[in-house]
Amino acid sequence: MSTAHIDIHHVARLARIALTEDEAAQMSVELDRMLKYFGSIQDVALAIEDPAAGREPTPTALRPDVAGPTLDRAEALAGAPAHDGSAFTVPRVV
Amino acid sequence: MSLPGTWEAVIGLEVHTQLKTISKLFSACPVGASRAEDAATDAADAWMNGDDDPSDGVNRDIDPLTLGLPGTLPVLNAEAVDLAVRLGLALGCEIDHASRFARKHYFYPDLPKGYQISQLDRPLCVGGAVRAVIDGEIRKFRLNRIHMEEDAGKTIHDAKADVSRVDYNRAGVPLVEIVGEPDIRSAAEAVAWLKSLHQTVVWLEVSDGQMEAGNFRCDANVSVRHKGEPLGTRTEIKNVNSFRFVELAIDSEIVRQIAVLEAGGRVVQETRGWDEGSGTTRSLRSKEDAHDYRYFPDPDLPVIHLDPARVASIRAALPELPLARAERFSGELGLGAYDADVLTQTRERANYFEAAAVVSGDPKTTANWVINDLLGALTKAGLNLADSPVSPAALGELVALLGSGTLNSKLAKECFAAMMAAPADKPVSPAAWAEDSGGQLNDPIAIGVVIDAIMAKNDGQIAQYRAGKDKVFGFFVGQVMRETQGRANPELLQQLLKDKLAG
Amino acid sequence: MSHTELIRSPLVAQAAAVANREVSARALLEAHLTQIDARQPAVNAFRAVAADSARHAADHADALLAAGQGPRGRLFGVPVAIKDQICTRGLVTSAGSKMLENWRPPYDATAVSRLVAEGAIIIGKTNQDEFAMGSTSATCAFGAVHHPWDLDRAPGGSSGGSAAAVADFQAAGALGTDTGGSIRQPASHCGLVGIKPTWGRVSRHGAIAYASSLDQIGPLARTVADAALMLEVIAGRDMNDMGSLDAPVPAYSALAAAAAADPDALKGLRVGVPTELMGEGNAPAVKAAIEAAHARFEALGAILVPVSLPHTSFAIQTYYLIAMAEASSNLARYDGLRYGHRAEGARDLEDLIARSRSEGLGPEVKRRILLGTFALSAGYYDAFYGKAQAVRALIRRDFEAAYATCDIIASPTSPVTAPRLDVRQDDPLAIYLMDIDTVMSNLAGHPSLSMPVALDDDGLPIGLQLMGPHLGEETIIRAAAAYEARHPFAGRALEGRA
Repeated sequence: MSTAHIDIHHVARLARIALTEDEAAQMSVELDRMLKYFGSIQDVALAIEDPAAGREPTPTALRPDVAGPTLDRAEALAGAPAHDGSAFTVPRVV
Repeated sequence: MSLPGTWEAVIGLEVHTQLKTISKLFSACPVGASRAEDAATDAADAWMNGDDDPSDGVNRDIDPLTLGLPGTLPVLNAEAVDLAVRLGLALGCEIDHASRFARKHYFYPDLPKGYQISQLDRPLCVGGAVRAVIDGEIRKFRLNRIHMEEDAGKTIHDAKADVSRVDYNRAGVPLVEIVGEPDIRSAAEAVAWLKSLHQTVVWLEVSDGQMEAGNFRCDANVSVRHKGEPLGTRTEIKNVNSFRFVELAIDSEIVRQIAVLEAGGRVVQETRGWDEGSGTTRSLRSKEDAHDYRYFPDPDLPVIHLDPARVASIRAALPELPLARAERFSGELGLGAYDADVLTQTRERANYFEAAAVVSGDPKTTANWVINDLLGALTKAGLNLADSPVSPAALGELVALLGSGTLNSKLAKECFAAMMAAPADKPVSPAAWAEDSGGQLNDPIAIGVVIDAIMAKNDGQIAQYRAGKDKVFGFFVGQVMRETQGRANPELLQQLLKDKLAG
Repeated sequence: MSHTELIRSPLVAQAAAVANREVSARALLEAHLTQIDARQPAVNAFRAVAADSARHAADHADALLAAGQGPRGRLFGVPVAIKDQICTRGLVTSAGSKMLENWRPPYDATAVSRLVAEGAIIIGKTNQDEFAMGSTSATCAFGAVHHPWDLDRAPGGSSGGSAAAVADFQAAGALGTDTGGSIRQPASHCGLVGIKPTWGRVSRHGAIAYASSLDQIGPLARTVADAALMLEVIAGRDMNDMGSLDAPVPAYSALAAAAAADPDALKGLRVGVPTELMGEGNAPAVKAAIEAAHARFEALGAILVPVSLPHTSFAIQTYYLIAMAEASSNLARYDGLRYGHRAEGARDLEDLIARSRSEGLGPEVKRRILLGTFALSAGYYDAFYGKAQAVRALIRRDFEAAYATCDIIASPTSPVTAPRLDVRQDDPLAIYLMDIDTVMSNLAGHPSLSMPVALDDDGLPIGLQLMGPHLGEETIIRAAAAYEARHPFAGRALEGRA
């Protein structure tokens, strides 16, 4: 397949990372280069079915529905960058 | 609402409902349920009014995983799986014994990890159907899937200040998402679908289904087309939290879309919300701005292999569902369709009725008493059926006493009132009450004596009656009843009085 | 033995000294703290030294001993360092990042609680590459770590601080994390034994996630016996981690001791020699050292078996695509809203999140998040992340086929020895390629151990990697213990060199 090219601004937006124009330009070059190398896995023939498929699986152990300890609210808020004593506060969501 | 011309509406519904568990989906953090919801609202109100109540319930049901703290890992709740399986089996779904969880990524303050753990490619349940009664007929609406996912927290916006408050009580609460195929053709059908599903989840004790508290949420996908043509562009109406608003919103959206198309425009694929004020739907955001959720299988969670024996036991323990039970009430017990429907609104009610009917031996009369007397009295007293001072057995006994003639209907109503008024530790036994009151007077001689006594004092009325004034008969009936404290057997009284007045 | 000498002893010997009351826990701790004090400015192994709490714990340990109620646990009174990536309750845990500069977890990682339950004393948190992404520990937001034997060199990464601390006698042992080699490679560069367990052997609860399907916590120590003991203590099922294996924990410590004492321990052991990893990509000294190690195995009765892992040439691509994708997901939670760094003066919520992340995260982390996001994004998932998982399955099968003919596979841990810090490597990709030896076992989920076997011409350690099949820790530990008993690492002579 032809080499994919990363739309750096689109990806940065998806990932919520702010880049300066210089950073974006540099990242774009670096990442495209990496992608070109990583993209060589397209040359690998498709994998065969998982060999584990035939075996009878053990039921997954799940957690019993019992209430456990909570985190003290004050302790939780202590690490918060902004709060009002009971809730985490953030800039108004539009 | 019937549509003009060959227009047809195509509707598919998605419901998110909170599973009735003690702890959250992926951690042992307790679920506060409605308590937390109320507290959050109270707190928001208090805060906006400037009162700071430090004892509010905001951010109490949290633990490290709920907040998505670094290093925490999800551990799946067994009961949540059982409940989801139970629902899937009841609705006739195929249960995937090797389902997978996936991460759905987006950034929002109420989503602590920056992704929601949900299911994509391998949901727990596939297929199935919702059955609803439409115009007296049971109709089957196909389901696409039911999957499990965790809920997000709540962001409480303040229009005045420049902040939003985030409460994580609800973050991580277990949900199932029930996705219907677009088999629905009207808002009325949509409401019937929703009511049936709602009844089912409550019936199965899978969810509390409290719509006002937000733990039964509906999104509606609506499009229109001319009959026979391919599907039109759909819009999504989000988070409408009452049956009434769902109906209004869907109808309004259908009308809107038809108008747009008839004017030569095109329907934009977007998300819309119900605006109560204007009575219409309003655009929230364009689906063209759709999120790229970057789904991938959650590497922290293994393939969920179900124990076939456990699934089998859940299936075996399924209760008779509402529609089937209503059919049995009509078919076997001879109730009318309306009564059967009322009595199977909740499993509790159905159980109550059936237990009472077993004791009374008369399902039809028992049904009348439950529907006309009991439910009304409970509502008036502000009580739930579970707190009824009248037990099913007691009601059954009352109906039996009425049937055997020990009580007449007037006495029975008095007895019932006494039973309702009785304190919890001293319930009234109908049999005992009947005995105390003397019960119905069935002795013709005794009744005859009273009739004679009254006739002796009322020559005038006798003369009027014999002259053809039939209405006077009622005067005598009333007098005898008064004399006998309402206990006279009405049929006997009628017969004896007639004979005696005839002369 | 003086306390200065005691800190240079293996962990096991230190534990015995405390248990036998040859040294008090407090004195042992102080000797380590003195070493840290002296060396921290140059080496920068530690992010935070928990002197107060450690002294408190040591005094408590001594009190128990004095009252005849000790020792409690096989690590009783032994100072152990914990990588900054691993949660320690109340003690700063930053994953080497400004994003979490002041974050104190409200809980301990399971591995940490188990060490403490065996009496270990947590002496501090060690520096590392930011969010465990790197192989030099130079991307640490709190300063690069310097190789204790040559301060101009990197100790390796990402668990460079843990490696430097142990190699420099600042701690008796340490925990690190290994996603693509981050325990083994610094162990190799610093002349230590490092173990990456089978995925799920050790609970990941409390390990700040980098790439969930690849991460494992493991020990770094100066001897095989030390590492085996630490592994035995931290391994085992944990209900807080659904990936943790429901398999009993063998007595690794006893097995190591028995193998060391058994002259026939290596007899008949089939040692796989992986063709693809023995090539010219290795520095000449490394190639020579590993070949010499192979020869020694053979001389001790092992059978060398050439094996091929045909998909080795796709391992780096596969590893990085999966690791970056999972990292982009695991790091989505760092938005500055609930904890961690929050930017000032943002326009609105979106701006706040983007700025907080950009300010709090370094360039290497950003690179990986961006590429990872891309690999998962609409239209590219199948070709990149999806394909990488498929190739991963092929790599696993390569191993399974190989283990039909051999018991363990012995390769270099790294193609090179500790690099110089002042040589700027501007090409991230070139650095990634150095991970070729180690990423294979992360991809397969298999256990792997690195042990020092030689020095190069600059006197820098060269590590031999022993890889084993699923839950094959026993086999590689026994092989390592037997080898070490007969060929103790010459680097020991360099004690006191720093």
